[in-house]
Amino acid sequence: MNDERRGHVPPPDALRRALRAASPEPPLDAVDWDALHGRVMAQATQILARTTVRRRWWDEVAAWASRGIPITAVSAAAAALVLVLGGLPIAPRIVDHETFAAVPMTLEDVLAAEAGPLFGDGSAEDALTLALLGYEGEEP
Amino acid sequence: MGMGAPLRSSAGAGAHDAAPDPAPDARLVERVRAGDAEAYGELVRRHMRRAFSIAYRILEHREDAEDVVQEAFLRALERFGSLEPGRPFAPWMYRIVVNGALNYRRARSVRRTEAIPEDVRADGTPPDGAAERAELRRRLKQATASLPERQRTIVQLVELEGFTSAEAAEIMGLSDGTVRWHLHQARRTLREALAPLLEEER
Repeated sequence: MNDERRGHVPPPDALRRALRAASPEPPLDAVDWDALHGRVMAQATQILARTTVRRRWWDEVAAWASRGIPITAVSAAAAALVLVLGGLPIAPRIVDHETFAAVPMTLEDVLAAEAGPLFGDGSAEDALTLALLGYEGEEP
Repeated sequence: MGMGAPLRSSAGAGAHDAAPDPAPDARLVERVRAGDAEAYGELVRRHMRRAFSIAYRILEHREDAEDVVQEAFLRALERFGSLEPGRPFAPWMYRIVVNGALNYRRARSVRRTEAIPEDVRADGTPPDGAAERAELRRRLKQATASLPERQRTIVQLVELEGFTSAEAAEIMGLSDGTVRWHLHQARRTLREALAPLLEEER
């Protein structure tokens, strides 16, 4: 650092040149590239065959898993829903449903329905009249 | 660390072969994934020179570098599944080469005390004009040997092989900023160690 301040430190280019000049160049021409390639590939072919077989087996499992996981999740959710619904009291729901569905649309229907049992086999008109009287709070 | 950028190499004066175009690499990689041995042969052919050059920078020995390259290509194939889809092949491959060379050098340093100099003639005398170079080389060897391994490797990749700091970062599995910092530190150490010699050279 002191040298740097005094200006004695060589610039990066000089350092790079010195490093390159002093370092042995890779002897690319001395290498038998075909032989090296051949040595690599002689073993690579075996490795590739082995790992490819392993990968195919694994890919198969992975493919099934990728499809199986969502299917399982949906099935589990559906099963849970069925179980939850199966545990609820169904009868009151049906009654409620029928009650609402059976709500008379007219006042006459209501009165007839309510008055009918009170007067046995009386005529519908009489029952209606009596029901109207009863509905209004008068004695028959 | 981002590994997305394809490695094209800055190919400085010291660099030999630029890294091959990554587009054909991607197609070859897909074929290799499908079990195509011929495609892997093509990948090896496209990258073995640069791989050898990198290994040689670290080991400074031809046969050792060849062994490392051979081993690296086989190791790469065994780990091919770890090469994420879309990730460029070259920096991933060169990282395997660098790691292999560093491991080899560590193991070799146990066996040998010194690398065999290759510019010595059969009769043991250095070639003409090699005395100064030998001195510079000796000083550089001392200086580079004093560097931490990571800094030394970064210097070899950037200053000698011509990779950019970003490319070296991809190969080393570091961030660009970290590589730049190490490079700065290494340059400062080397400049201080070599200042007298470089001053004479000017």
